[in-house]
Amino acid sequence: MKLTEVLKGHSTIVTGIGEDLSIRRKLMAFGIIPGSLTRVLQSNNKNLILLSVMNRGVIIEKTIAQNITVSHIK
Amino acid sequence: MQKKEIKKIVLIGTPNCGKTTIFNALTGKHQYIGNWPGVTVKTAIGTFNKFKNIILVDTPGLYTLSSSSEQQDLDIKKVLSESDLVINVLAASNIQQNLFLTLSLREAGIPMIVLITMADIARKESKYTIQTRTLSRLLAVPILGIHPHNKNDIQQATQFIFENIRTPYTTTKTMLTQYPDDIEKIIEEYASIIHTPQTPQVISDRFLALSLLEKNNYGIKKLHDISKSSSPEEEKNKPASHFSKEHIQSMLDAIVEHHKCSIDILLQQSKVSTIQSILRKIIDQYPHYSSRKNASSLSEKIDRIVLHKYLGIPLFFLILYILFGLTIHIGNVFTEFFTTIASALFVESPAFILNNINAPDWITRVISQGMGRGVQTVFSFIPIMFPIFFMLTILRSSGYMARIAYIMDRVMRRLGLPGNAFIPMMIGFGCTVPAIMATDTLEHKKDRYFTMFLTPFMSCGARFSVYVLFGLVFFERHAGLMAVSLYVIGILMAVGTGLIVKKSLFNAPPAPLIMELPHYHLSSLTYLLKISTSQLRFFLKGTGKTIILLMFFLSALGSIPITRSVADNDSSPLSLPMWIGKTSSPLFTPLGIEKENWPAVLALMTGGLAKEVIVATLNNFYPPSSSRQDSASELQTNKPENPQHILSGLLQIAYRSVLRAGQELFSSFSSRIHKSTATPASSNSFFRLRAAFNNDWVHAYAYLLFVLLYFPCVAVLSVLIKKTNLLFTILAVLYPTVLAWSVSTLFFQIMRAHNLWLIVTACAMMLAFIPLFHIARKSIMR
Repeated sequence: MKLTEVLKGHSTIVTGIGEDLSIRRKLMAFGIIPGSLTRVLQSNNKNLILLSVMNRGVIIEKTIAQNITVSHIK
Repeated sequence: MQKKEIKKIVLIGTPNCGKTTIFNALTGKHQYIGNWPGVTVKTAIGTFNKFKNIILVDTPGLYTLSSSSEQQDLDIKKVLSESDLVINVLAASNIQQNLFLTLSLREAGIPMIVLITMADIARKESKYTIQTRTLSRLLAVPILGIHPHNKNDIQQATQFIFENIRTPYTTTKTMLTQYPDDIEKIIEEYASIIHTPQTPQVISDRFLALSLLEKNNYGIKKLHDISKSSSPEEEKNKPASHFSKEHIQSMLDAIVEHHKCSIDILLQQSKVSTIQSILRKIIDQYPHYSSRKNASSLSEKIDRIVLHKYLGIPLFFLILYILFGLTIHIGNVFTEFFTTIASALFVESPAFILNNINAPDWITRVISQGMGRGVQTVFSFIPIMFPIFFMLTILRSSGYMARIAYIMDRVMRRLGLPGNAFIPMMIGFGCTVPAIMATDTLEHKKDRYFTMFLTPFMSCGARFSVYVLFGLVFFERHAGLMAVSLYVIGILMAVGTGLIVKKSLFNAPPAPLIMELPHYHLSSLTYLLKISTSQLRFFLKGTGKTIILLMFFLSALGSIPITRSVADNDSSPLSLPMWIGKTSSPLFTPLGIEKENWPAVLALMTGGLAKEVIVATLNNFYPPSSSRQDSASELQTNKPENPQHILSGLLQIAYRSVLRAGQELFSSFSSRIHKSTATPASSNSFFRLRAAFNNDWVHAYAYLLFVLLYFPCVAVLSVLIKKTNLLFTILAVLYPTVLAWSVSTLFFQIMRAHNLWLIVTACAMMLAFIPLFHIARKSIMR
């Protein structure tokens, strides 16, 4: 599923970060790579989503977050 | 272990790791903002307090050594290769992410040490501690844990740095991350092509090879270019199978096929594995601390309120109101105190001494009324600017400033800007110059230009000093509300301008936003006071020179008549400043500035140099209460010849001034505590200013609207020219000035004069810019 579909408070593991090289490098610079743990903190903003990645808050625009695929932690 | 001399030390770390705090602590006053020669990386450069031959360079925060911009990539490598020692500042509270940069730096093979910060935050929020010695052994670098705000820790860090300066250690252990075998093989291929024995490099070939490998197909192209640029001598030394684009491509395709993953992800995953194995050895509780599903740190709890969908923006405006309201009240209480003391020291005392030694009147006027009033004006800024800097430092150091990007994003998007574009604007409430420089953090050129165009609408601290002056004189109890209204109008003007120019001048979608939010952090009072004092000192030093020099020239020129007035019933001599003010005043009559109020017009012109000079100019031409002059003139009429009388006269000035300042301070305090309607004593001292504006708040407010909106100071314009182009800067001068004239005229005409033609003219002038923006678009954004 896409990261933008995850509800607030849910923890997930990143499974994919899209094909666009510039976006991938940006995401990787913030530690968002396949295998990293993320938790959605706030998704109430129209354009932005607030994640916890490696115990750090990261704001990501939803147009970028749509490139990120995740799966729920079981 | 190898040894070499050290001259240049570079601080590198992720954003918000405490790097700049360490830099400031180590260099103290011995620093300046500069550019590393030949690169675009903005750096701050300083020297250690005791050792001037050792240069310390602070770099912008980096998450990775690989940038999306090729130029910035080259620049980062140039900075690294020309440094003798790298200090990697590593934030313990975010060690997992920080170690990515640390590993890259180690792979580069440059001599380095590590300073670990924020161990207290890691302990409090995430409940873990780092075993520094184990980490030092694993990374094979010297490591020290410090608290940047602790004096003893800084001394220890200085000692630690010097020990490693004298005998810096390089190590052969450059390969920390073990990649899969097939990737290791291609790294060797790349490295062999890059390697040039004739030109030894500081940065390891392996690191350079990895940098290219991360760039996938683009990296192959660059590798091909490097191969083609080899000299004939270097060609002989290359292995037989050196470069074949097809060979490299086939190797990469095989790797992707085998791992079912792109190269850049594979490299990153290998780094993640290495970091995780390091963390297991240095953190006892790992991995439990990072995978707590229901963990809710203090920062997250606060963010639930601060970043609330409906509460976020009102809370932000409430904070702004408290910030500026407090500043106004503190300014009101202490301004007269500082002004009175400064007047005694720099205006009355020099005047008394010069009069008693029979100095020419013009010398007395230049030194006392000119330069003395200039110094007095600078002193009057202290109680106004210090609270602003203090409040902004709290916002920045606490971590709230970064949240503003999230809160204001929806508003900024409507303008066509990302949310983090508001942060430079927020900095603009202190001073526009660093705000313009802060636009470097925005990725796209259009976003930077757009933000630079709107930032001057945020009232800077210098303009605030004008608001405080007029607030004292015309608005009294409502001074706070008046100031806030001006700030809101400034923001609304920025929004309105943004809506117009987003479809014309800056017609492109905003850059996608990714940004880190630091943990909330309560800095110590000592740290906050230290940073605020340092900012105040910097501000006063810069503005002080401008104001004192300008006041010197204004009063000198004011003493020299150059012509006579041609007005009816007036044959008084005119000085140059007077002539300029009177000649220009008809332009400002629609705003409500009377013809005889030429000092106000002159102040607007001198304000083009620096907005603080407006207050100084007004002080010069509308001196405070005549009671002060009387107290000095009483002493002057005696004109004793015996020097001892001069001394006794000075002592009397000092005594009366201290008494008066104390009374005014007490009066200001008590009027606030008792919320009395009694007018503070301070307002009475500006009766000439009040009379010049017809004792009417509408006249004063129209003037303030002009001050709010017209073009920023010369310092801002010089930065704009450097960062953009001449046409942009001209537009940045012309548009706000016309807007200022139009808005002020509209306000005054609607409230008082009701001249329809002027109202129509003002509207037409504003609307005329809409087609101009469309026409100028291509030239501005070239």
